[in-house]
Order: sequence, then structure tokens, then C-alpha cells
Amino acid sequence: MRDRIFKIWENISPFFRYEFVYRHNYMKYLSYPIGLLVITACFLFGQWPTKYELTVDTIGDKFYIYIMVIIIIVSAVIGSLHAAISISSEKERKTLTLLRMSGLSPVEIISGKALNSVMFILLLVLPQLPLLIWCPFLGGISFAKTFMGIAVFLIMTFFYAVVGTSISILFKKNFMATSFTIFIMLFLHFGMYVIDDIFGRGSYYYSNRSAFFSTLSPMEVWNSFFYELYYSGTSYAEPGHFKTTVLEGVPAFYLTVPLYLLVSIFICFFVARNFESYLKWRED
Amino acid sequence: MIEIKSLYKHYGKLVAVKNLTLTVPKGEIFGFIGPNGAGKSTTIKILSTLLTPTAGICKINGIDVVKYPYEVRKILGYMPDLFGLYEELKVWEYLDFFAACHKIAYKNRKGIINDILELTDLTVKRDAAVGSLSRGMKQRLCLAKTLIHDPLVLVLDEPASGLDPRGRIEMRALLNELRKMGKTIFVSSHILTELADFCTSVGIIEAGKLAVSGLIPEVVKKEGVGRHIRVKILDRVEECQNILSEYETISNLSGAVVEKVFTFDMQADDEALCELLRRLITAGIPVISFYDKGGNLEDIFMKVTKGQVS
Repeated sequence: MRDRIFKIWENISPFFRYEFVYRHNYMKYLSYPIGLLVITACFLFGQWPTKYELTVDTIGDKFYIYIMVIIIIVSAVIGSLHAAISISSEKERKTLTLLRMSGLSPVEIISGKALNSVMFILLLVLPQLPLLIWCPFLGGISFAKTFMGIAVFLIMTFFYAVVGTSISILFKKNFMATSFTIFIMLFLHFGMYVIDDIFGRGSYYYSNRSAFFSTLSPMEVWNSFFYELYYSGTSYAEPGHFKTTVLEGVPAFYLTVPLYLLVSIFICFFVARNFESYLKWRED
Repeated sequence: MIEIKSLYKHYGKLVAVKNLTLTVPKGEIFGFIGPNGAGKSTTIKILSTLLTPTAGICKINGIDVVKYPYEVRKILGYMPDLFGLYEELKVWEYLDFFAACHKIAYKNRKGIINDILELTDLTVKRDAAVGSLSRGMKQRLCLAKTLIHDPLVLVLDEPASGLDPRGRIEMRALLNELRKMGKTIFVSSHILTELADFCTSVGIIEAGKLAVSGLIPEVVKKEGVGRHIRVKILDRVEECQNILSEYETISNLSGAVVEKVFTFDMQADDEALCELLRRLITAGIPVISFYDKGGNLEDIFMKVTKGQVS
């Protein structure tokens, strides 16, 4: 097992070394997280409770949500766009052929590029982690839920990275890849509500029993998580909603987050399997 | 080592490669010659597992390039005609990246990189940024990357294109060095003089069809193209010219009276050349140099091609 893990690390590590060591972008990796930390600090300062609010309410859960919202936006926007230029930039500077001939398998290339984007996002949000862990001490949120939120964040970041990397393969220009990724991300987040509306499932009200597609939107994953955080154990949706019909009383993100993980892994392997044949087909 | 049988490649209605069959034995430097659009790069991409042929068989060291592309890539070093480099990396970092991609153990990498830098004469540029290198150095660096996993076969697409004379001479010397190391080299070019000096065998392709292939002396003999000979003498120009004029196998005789140099084409094997030199010496011609430039690829090329494209 140890040998296998070491082998996987050795296979993926060239991309990590390239991105985080050889490119010598140390200032970038120092200034970006600090910048994000300053934005978070300003945001928290604006939301700081009054003396009265402090006496009647807990603030840990509120701060946790504020911080999470910032890092979720960073993950969805920067994570997907960073991944979107991972392969297309190799095409743009004509290094993809060298990479394909370098002895790496398509799985190693795709997963390496996707995990690179995950690592980049983790580096960006690294200074926020102590703030998140500080929240349970302020009350209103347990350590278990704090870490659960971080786990959900990691899975969703991986999903965004895989989607971005997969789209990146399709295009030769960074501009096209990023534009299409923005379109897909907007569709995933907001288009699901439109689909529900088109099929007369009316996603506008959560209480609508027939809403289905919108439950799969990443927006709803976080919605479900934050509702669970506030109203622990209770359901925000009426009976008949997707989450309650599948498993009574189980928050939707318990189902959708593993689904996102499985879909990410499936996309990763599907894309890797068809990577070579797609590029050969494009050459034809 | 390289075996191509009845290879076809169609791009829609365009037939880029038609019924191409050739074999390159181990240790050869095979020059793949053809005009632009002849199908050289398509053939090379198929050999390098980057394209799927429409029909035919391609094998490298007995391994089918279509069925087992990843196995082939382990023993093949491919250098494309147009390639990019990670310009922000240092030279050693660039090689280390590809060494890691080839799963060369970390502890062995430093030694391998140093050896390859020495072979490609880039040791002094070890810590230089890739972007700061000259065109010739970048070509050599790309070749160094191609050699990092010690491949048995090298497939080089126009390796000396865009290089200055010095760069070409250095590239030629490097390829000869690699041949001495036992590598089989498949090199394409449309610049004939680039290949003439170091290739052991050639294949000429036009409009996707192989016009001729084989060892250079065999091709020269088969196509009836003369060997280019250059004789430099100290004196007795007129007598020398008279002797050379007697031979029916000599054509295109031209003599520079002031420089005392004769150049001519001769339909002859090695023994006939020895005989000619012996006769000149016996006749008392003070020969300074007698140089056989070999078969003229340009002549062969012009003879077997018709200026068509796919």
C-alpha cells in the first residue's frame, strides 16, 4: 500500500513541482492568499455583531458561513478557470505533444492537472483555515460540522477542477476554454433552476414538491449544508421534496456531495479514456 | 527496428500516405526526404503513436504502434518539428520535469541529467532559463529531453530546420554521436544537404508514395546517379584533365585552373575510384586531395520525384 501511494505521488508530482516549485511564482503564492485574507477580514469586520447581539446570540456559525461563502466563490470561479487553462495552455504553447510522449498515461495527465488546480485553491484559502477552526470556539457550530464543511469544500473544489480540466481538453485557446467553462459553471449553478421551471417543476419555492434538478445544483449543496448548520436535524423542504422522498429527514447534501465525488471520478476516468482518441480525431 | 507495411492515411478525401512500406534496421540513421506536403510528418506522427493510420501496420522493435502505443512510447524518443518549451523553467528543471514524467527515480535523475547535458553540450547552460536560450540550444534541449529515458529509437521531425550553419553542424555531430551509441534514428527533412552527410539510408517520399528507399550506396547504384568526386592537385592541370576526359563514366567535369581543383560525377564503385586515383598518381599528377562526396541526394531526389504533392 505504502509503495503504491509513493508510486502515485511520484506520478503526479511532476505537475506539482512544475507549478509550485519550478515556475518560481513565490510572490504570487504569497500575495494571493494574503489578499484573500484581507478581503475576508474586511468582510468579517463589516459583519461584526453589536454588544447586544453578542449577549443574545452565538456568532461562530455566522462567521463560519461568511468565511465559507468567500472560499466557495474562490473555489468555483478561480478553481474552475485555473483548471480550464491547464491543458489548453499546453496546446497553446505546443507542449502537449511532448507531454503525451513523456511516458505519462492520460489518467496521470488529467488527474495531475486537476489536482494541481485543487492544490492551487488550497494554497489560496490556506490562511482562512485557522479562522474556520476558530469558529467553534465562538459557539454555534461544532468541530464535526466545521470539518464536514471543509470536506464538502474539498470535494466540490475537486469537482470544479475536473470540470475545468475536461473542458480544457476540448479547446486550443485559453480564451475559448475559459469562456466555455464560465458558461458551464453558470449553467450548473443556475441553469438547473431554469430546467426545473421548464419542466413545470417550479424551483422558485423550495417547498415545491416536484423540484428535482435544482437540488443537484452546487448552490443547493451549500444551501442544504448551511440550513443543516442552522436547523440541525430539521428539514427545510416540505415532504415530497427530493431529499425527503429518497431518505426521510436526511439533508440533501448527504446525497448530492457523494454524488458529486462519484461524478468527478467518473468524468476523470471517462475523459482520460477518451483523451488520446479525441486528440487523434482532432488531428484528422 | 522500424517496420512499416502498406501504410495508408486519409484525411477525408485527401490521401496523405499511400501504401508506404519500408524497413529501418537497428543502428541506422534513416533520412526521410520529401518536399513539403509529401506526407513525412503524417508518417512520423503515426510512427510516434500520435495519429492512427487508416490502414497498414507500423511496428517499432516488433511492437505495434496502434495496439500498444504506451509500450512504444517507452522505447521511442520523438522530437516534433514545431515544439514549445516551458520557457520559465531552468534547463535542469525542464529535464528533471520530463525525467519525473518518465518515472525515473529521484536519486538517479541528477546523474542522468548531467550526462545528457554533457552529451548535448548544454552543461554551461544548466542553470539558465529555457527562454533565454538561442534557437539552436533550444533544439538541443528538446533533443536532450527526447533522450532522457534512453530510448532505442529516435524519431526526429526536421531537427535542424531554422538552425544557422553552426547549429546544423553541431546537430549533425550530435546525431552521429547518438548513432555510435547504438540508437536507431529516423530523421525527416526537406533540406537534402542536411541529411546527405550523416544518413546511412534514405527514403524519398512524394505525394504520400515512397519513391525509393534503401542504403545510400544501393540507392545511388539503383538510380544510376554518379558519385561526386573532388580532386585537388598541385600542378599539371592539363595532363590531369586529359586523363579524366578519357573516362566515359565521368560526367559534369569542371576544373578550376587557378585553384587547380576538378569536380565531376562518376558512375563507379569503390574499386573503380581506387583505380582512377592510382592512375593519376602513376601518371605523376601531384594529387593533394581526392575526396568522394558520395551519392548526390539532390540528383537522386530530382530523378525520382516529379514535384507532386498529396
